[in-house]
Amino acid sequence: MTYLTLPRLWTHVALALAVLCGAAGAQLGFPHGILAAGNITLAVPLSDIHIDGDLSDWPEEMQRIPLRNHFQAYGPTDLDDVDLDSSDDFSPSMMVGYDDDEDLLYVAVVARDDQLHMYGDEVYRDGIEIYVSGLSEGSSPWQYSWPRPM
Amino acid sequence: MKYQNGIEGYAGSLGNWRNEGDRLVYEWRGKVLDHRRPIELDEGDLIGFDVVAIDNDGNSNVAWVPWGPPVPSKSASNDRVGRLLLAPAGMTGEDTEVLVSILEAWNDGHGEHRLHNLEGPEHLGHLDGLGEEIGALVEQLLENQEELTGHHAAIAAARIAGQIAAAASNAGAIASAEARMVEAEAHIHAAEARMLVKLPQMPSSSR
Repeated sequence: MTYLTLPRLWTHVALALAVLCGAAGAQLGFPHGILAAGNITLAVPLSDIHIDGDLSDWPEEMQRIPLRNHFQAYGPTDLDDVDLDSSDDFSPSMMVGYDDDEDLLYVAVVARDDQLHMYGDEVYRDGIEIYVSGLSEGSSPWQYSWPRPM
Repeated sequence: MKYQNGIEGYAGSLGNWRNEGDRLVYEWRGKVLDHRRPIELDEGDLIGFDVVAIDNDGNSNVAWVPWGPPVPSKSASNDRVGRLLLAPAGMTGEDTEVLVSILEAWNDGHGEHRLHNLEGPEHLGHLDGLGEEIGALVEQLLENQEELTGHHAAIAAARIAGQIAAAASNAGAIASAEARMVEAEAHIHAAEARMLVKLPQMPSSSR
């Protein structure tokens, strides 16, 4: 009789546990709030990234994480009931990394967009907003807006 | 490209963008601020994080598309943004991919439980025997694996992992928990050994 080895998934469960809980000498912390929000993703270590709008210096294997939680923040839009995975109108995704030597976070967003509104005086042009927080007691997210003044 | 050298913003942040055909590419770097002050970043840190992409086609209301919870006023509370885990250096691309997929499964599993509806870690109570608790959770996963496949298994795994991390955090037992994880590893290995002994050969695609 042959016996099952543990499926690969469960090896990865151990990996997830290790990363999330600090096992195997990773010496990771247990910050508060891991259950506070429904969305969690990963930032990978980066270095030598130039902020020029050219992403060729980002690792090729980095996963692009889709932004899909559209809702009617300002009322009905032409993206309502649209599949953002395949929409020509708008289909954004992001990559996230960090540099612990410089204590910098890096974000790249790529959006397929059939109509560009990047200029002019409108408050809400095409753009991105980035929110960050150290999650300390009493803190709240800091907002960077781009390309509006950050 | 409009901005040759990018545009600097608060706390030394720097952004730039370009359009490539029908694609807009934004690139940004900046400090993580907490109480308006930059913090250090280290592997294993968990930070509050969200990105919103804004689309103005000029013919209707602006579309505001978050990665994180679909709620406005994200600056108001850490509950209104997602979480970003700073991965350790040295993870392979494959491991990173798997971990991201697990975290995304976690996200999917909480699609109806965003924000304040999540089960809080408080129900786990103060865990004196944290190592044993973690081991029990891992064993629970292993025992249920025949009933869980693919996506559902990943969701369950990520949820359990999150519970464990939250339980450790909630118990205020960070340092001791790290030590106790050695015990948990032993549980994992023991459970693995039992699985090797107990389980008969089954098709890998049994469901």
